[in-house]
Amino acid sequence: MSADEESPVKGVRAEPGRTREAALILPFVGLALFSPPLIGLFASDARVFGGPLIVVYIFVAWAALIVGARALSRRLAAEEAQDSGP
Amino acid sequence: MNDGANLILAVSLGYVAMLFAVAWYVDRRAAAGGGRWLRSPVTYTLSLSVYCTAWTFYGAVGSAARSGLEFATIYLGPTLMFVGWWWLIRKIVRIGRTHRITSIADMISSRFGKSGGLAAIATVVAVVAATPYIALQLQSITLSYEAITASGPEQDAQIAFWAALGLGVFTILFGTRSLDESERHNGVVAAIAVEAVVKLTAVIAVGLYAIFSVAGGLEATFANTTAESLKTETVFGPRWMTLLFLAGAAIICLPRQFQVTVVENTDEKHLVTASWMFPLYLFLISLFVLPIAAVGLSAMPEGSNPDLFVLTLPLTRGDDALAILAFIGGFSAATSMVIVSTIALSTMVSNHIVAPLSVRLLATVGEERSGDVQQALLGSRRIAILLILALGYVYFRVSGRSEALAATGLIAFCGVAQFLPALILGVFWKGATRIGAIAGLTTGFAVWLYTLYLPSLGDGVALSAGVIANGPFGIEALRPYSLFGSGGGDSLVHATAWSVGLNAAILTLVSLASRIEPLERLQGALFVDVFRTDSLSAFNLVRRSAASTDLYILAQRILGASAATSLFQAAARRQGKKEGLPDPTPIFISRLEQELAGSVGAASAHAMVNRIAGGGTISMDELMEIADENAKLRRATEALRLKSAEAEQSARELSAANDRLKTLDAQKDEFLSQVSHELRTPMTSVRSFAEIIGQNPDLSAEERTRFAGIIEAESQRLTRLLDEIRDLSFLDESATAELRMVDAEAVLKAAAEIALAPHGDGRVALTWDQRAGEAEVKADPDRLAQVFINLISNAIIHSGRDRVAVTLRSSAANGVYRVEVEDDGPGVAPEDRERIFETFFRRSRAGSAGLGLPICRKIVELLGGSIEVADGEKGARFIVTAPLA
Repeated sequence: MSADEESPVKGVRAEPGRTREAALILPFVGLALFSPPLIGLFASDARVFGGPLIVVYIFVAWAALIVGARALSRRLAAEEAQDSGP
Repeated sequence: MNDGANLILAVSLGYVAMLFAVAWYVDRRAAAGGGRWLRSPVTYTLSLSVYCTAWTFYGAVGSAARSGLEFATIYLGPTLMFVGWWWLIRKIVRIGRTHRITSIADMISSRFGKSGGLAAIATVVAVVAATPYIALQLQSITLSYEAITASGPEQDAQIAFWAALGLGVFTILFGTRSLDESERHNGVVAAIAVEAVVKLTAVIAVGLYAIFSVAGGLEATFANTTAESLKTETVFGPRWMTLLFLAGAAIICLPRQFQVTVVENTDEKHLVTASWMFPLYLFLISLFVLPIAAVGLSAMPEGSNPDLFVLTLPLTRGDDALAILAFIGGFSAATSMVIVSTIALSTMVSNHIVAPLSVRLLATVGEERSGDVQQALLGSRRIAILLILALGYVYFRVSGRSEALAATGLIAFCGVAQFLPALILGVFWKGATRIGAIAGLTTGFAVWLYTLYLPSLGDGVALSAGVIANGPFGIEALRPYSLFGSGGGDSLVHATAWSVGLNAAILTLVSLASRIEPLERLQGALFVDVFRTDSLSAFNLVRRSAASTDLYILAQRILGASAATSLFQAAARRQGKKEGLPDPTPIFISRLEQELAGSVGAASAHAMVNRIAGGGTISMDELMEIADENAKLRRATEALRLKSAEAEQSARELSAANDRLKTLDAQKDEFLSQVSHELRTPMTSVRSFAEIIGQNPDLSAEERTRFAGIIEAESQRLTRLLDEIRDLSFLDESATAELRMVDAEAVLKAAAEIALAPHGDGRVALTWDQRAGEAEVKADPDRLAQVFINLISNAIIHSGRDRVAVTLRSSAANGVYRVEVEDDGPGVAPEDRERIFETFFRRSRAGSAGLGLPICRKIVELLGGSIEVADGEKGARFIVTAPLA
């Protein structure tokens, strides 16, 4: 966890602006995940962990999107703090 | 439940009382400046969850039971919008905060030149679109109440009526207590945050209950769930994409979402957290929808309303405590939506419809009192809240309760999506115009009304069954569900494509064809470039004038006496005035307008201020500087060029200074070597003659005397030389030699006598050619005398002849004292005229070491004068000038 907390700042120093680009791209990644044809690939009767594959897919993709957004938001906050810092 | 009715009534009232307590306590704390936790990102995120209404709480399960996975789109759309907050939401929140936007109608009208007409149209659209949505909440409260008390639909009207009235009273109590300058409602936001926790807890509790208590595990929960029941084959079609789009649009276009996301935002940084935490909330609240639907479908008797599974699942199995929790959860979801919605909508109605009318009305009545507009607006908000609820109630009564909750909600989504083109084009395209926005919004609204809203009221209410089936007057191309024969698919997809599509297309085309008014151009630039433009810089652009007292009266009428007074005092202090009203500068008038806009909306504030200050003019040059990207670029380039020119200039100066220093250093070295050389010559002769005298005791007395004479003469020369060097360095150091009023003529006369003394009577013929008479200069008399002595001595020494004629002239005219010393010697060659003033330059071996003239020049320059040499009639003419005192 501590490494996770430090990495954003390091990342910012190394590549300013990259985080913003990633934040701009992420929603389109999400849109692709939830749109045909990608989502159609999982529309079957298969089962994972007791649930239908498509349901598991939607919620796993959703969770991944949230985790990605959280990681980006921390980096963005760190970047903002640097931009407006002393 | 047997005694269900009383229990549920008691629980509901208790719950509402608890919300009252929370809202009241928080308002108190906020007024006292406390409640820091209230301004936390978590509270902000929880308040956003007002998105999850009874539609989510009950309707999502119903939707999942009927249409499978489709329900997820309603939460995936907002998830994508928030995950992509950097695109749109961030910009809208910044604009809202910068321009003190009070509602989505205000936002759109403010962007398009503070148009009152556009604000009114947007308000109408928002109110009409909200009615099915509010009806949905009333319906869900009614259904859940009837389910839990096991009563029939005959009580519908009564229950919905009391629910609507109760919610109206609550909203009036906490949403319209004051015309807050920031339009923020701390108490309400806190109550909403509490409700967010309650509804999430209830859904999760029922979900876990369904999976583990009813079904007995995840495997069993989904035992009957097939690809067919999830509709996986057909669900990912146009309707899926349309729903994603509508839900994404709704999260920013719904008046209540705009209210909590933009207007109630206390800190922009909260968005960073909300960008993932709000999707997480949606994720959690959706997680148990499918399990509840699956379990409900298999466990509940055939024909049960799937919209109520969340409540009826525990209820039919006798788990009353959980059923009550579920009821409270649904009640939370419905009440929070109605409260925030009516606050947002009533603000729009009062700001954009009542305010323009009331000012006109109050003006005709003529009696202007402090706070009268404020009171009128507060009153109008209260009435508007009740009216909006009444509309929702009427819609519920008219459309009946047959339809699924989700279908009703989607009608509202499609309605508010009409704001999206104006919103997006408004904040990304400076060329969008007011006319275009009005045309687009009106068209979209009309198409939505015709293709979705009116038919939804039911056959024969607004449109007859015949019109719906065959088109008006039998024109098939105009069938509501099949415009121009495009139907056949889903009516929602059809309505969305036509309404939003035409809206955006007409907005774009009309904008391209219409002129942009100056105020639109200004607002467009401020909105589109909100991250780059300082909005304060625009305050000076609108040039208006008004009497301060008139503005003060206006502010008092809108803000109330005390708020207006403190506002004007602060402004006067900013202008540096200790008391009295601030000066009505254009900046102050614009600032005041923005303050008022925070209370009554941009369009009304603009109209009210203009009534007093006149329309004013907009300085086009300055506007172009703000609005025109090229001008901005040019300005930046120019600034950069100036900066680099400055840098170049200072680099040049630095290099010049460096050169000077180098030269000075070289001069110093040369000076030192010259000095040592000059000292060495007399020293050498002194030493050699002293040696001769010491080593030759048999020298004749005559020779001894001669050598001693030489030693004395050389020593004197040495002393003189050392004196001159000392003078020179002394003058270098003391730039501020002691200056006082001196009679220059007297000094000149004395100097001439001293200079002639060593040369005997007959040798020098001194002529006074012209006398200045009285001439006072500011100088050190000894040094001034030294200059004259030096010049006269030089004339005698350098003449190279036995008899010398020296002529002196002095004059005082035009503030300058001028002395000329002319001799009849050989003169100074033109190429030497500058060099003779350099140290150790000598024309001949005679006389001093060559420091005399440099010293003279130094002294004269200290007086602010000058010294130069010119051709005389025969020899050289030295000219000294000094400013007269």
